[in-house]
Amino acid sequence: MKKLIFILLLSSQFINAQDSTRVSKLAHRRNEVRVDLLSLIASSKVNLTYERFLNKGFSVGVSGNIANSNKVNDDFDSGNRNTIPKYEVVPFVRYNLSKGAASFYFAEIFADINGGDFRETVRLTDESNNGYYTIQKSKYSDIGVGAGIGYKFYIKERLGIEFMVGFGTNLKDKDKSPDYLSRVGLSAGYRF
Amino acid sequence: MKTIKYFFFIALGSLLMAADCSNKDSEFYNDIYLSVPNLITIETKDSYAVNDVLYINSDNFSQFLDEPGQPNLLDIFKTTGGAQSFNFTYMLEKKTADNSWQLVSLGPNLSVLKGFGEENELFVSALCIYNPLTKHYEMRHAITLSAPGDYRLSFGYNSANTTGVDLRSDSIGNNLFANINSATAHLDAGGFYNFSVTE
Repeated sequence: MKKLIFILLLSSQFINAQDSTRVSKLAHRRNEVRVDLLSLIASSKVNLTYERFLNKGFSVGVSGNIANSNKVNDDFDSGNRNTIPKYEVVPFVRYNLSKGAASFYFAEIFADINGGDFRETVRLTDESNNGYYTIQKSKYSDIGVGAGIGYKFYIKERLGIEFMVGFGTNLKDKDKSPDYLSRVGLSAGYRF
Repeated sequence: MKTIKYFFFIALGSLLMAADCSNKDSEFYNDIYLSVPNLITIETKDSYAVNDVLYINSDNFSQFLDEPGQPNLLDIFKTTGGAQSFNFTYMLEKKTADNSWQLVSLGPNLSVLKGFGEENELFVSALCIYNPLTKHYEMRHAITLSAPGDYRLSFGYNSANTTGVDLRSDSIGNNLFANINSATAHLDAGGFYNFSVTE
């Protein structure tokens, strides 16, 4: 994984050299859709994003993902984790930190509307008035905020490759929802 | 521009390391922890002679435990999804001529009267086995004291508990594991029951 990141970052040096010739076409293509390959492969999470480029500096977008990983479900049932994130809707605003449009670093702030299953151990009383502990499952939903940074470059001014890392925190119901939100992805997108 | 790139390299690396170090998911949520005293007892005598027997047993270990701070008894059999046994370890040591302590190999001097017991090179592994008729977890081991000397018995090989015994349910599947810290009488501040055996 780290080797892949290194190669991506290294490749940016070559792409930067050709950056100026690509700016004009990309400037007219203001929309992009992409899929996160990393989360699809690593955690069976389908993550789709739409991004709208407003100007040279800013873009806005929204990501949505649905997760259903057997491993996560098994870990949840066997007690190795106490939440299963099931869905996320992530609206974001990005700022281009570089001068180029064909390859650039960006910073992002995002909100994260998320939900899933939660489990806790509770003490109940049975019909014989004896106590017993058991696992009780419920749903959670929360909203969080966070920030991230990333790097993006385009191949043939259409195919966008993007790597980003971001972290956030849930705000509303931390007793049940995960304390921290991560937004790590390696995405391939189409700009039009 | 170069400064920004360096910033990104450092920031990316830091964030990735932070992600790698995040261990919230490494917690185990199927454990419950209880403190219930006197589940395991040492049947003591004022003095011991060679061929006397030291008993360790779980006569008080009912399926229904009085859990401190709770209004009713706790059913640990139901809690653990019907765990058929609870396990713990103990070890017997003897003082040597140079005042150090040496593990005593019990061999035929260990008799398992109830439950299960297995001696390895470091400790005795004991199981309190569920009896559906009595609804107790039963275990009774007898140690024949075959040689004179100063001895100490402890339950702390697999734990740092110096006041009693740490019992853990042998739960199966995705059921809860009950971990019981059970204070035991006759232990000193280091968690040892000290006694002497005379000729």
